[in-house]
Amino acid sequence: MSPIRTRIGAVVVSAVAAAGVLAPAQAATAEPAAPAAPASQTAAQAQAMGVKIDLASATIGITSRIYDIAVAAIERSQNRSGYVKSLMEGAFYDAGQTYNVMVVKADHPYSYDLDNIVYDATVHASGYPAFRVLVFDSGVFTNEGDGGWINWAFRGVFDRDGMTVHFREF
Amino acid sequence: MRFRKALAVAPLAAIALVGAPAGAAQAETAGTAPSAAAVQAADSPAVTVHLDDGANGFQVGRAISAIDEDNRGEFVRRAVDEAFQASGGRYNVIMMNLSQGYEERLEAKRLYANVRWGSINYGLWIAEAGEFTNTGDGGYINWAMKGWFDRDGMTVRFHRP
Repeated sequence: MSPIRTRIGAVVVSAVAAAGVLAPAQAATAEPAAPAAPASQTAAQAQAMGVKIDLASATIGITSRIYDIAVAAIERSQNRSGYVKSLMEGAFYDAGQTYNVMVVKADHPYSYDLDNIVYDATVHASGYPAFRVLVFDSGVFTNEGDGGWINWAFRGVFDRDGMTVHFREF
Repeated sequence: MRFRKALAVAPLAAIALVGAPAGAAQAETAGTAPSAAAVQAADSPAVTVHLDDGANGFQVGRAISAIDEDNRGEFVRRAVDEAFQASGGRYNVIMMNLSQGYEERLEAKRLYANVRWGSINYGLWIAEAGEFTNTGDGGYINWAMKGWFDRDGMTVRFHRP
């Protein structure tokens, strides 16, 4: 068995341990921004594989799941739009299908005015540019650059006006 | 083997799976110059379950990650079939290439998983009802569904059995 496989196994164990602590109903309750022991072990293992997540703020505990997506993606680094959409869908369901989700290339030109951001992290996966994952209640987001799926993806309840998206609460 | 242990632990929480490496060994020892499809499928499918509401998510993930298939269209068909069976044969299943455009309006969703096969990222939904529209390429390598539905062009309307 290759070392890579072994490391993936370790990541899975950590992810399970971290996720097992959170019942789905508790997902929306506050979780300390500082990762608990199992989560940091996940982070260390994932970082060894070329994945790093800079957590800006979080009141929901979905980081270990985001690691899973990024780790799965870096084994094959040719499909950026698929990676972006898998981050978007994964975060949406991890957050309980009650928040809007925006994924945008971290160094992309954009502006936003969002209310109640419950998760804000930048995901670095080797072979891909860094992407920022925002999970929130409502607000306005404007893409000031290229609007292709390789640069951003979002889902939730919204009206889109060109490159500006108006999100409403679920 | 630590990886095997990981699989044994996972049923408690039904979370993330990365396929057993059996498929990788076979693809690498195929001998002749690998086709593009074989290169893509040289590792096992990776499945991460992000929603599991009574759909037997661990078994669904395990079944899909165990598929050893070099043909992309055949993989999509088999993955949907495995998901349908593993979730009890009572829910609708649809899988879609996330790089294509789609509108998901499913209801009573039971499962969502990211499924990576080679360099392709698929979304897998298990739901009781609702609609799903493919606004991208409708080829069989990009989507497949199983269950109870009416199809109107690129829109599929699912209903309960």
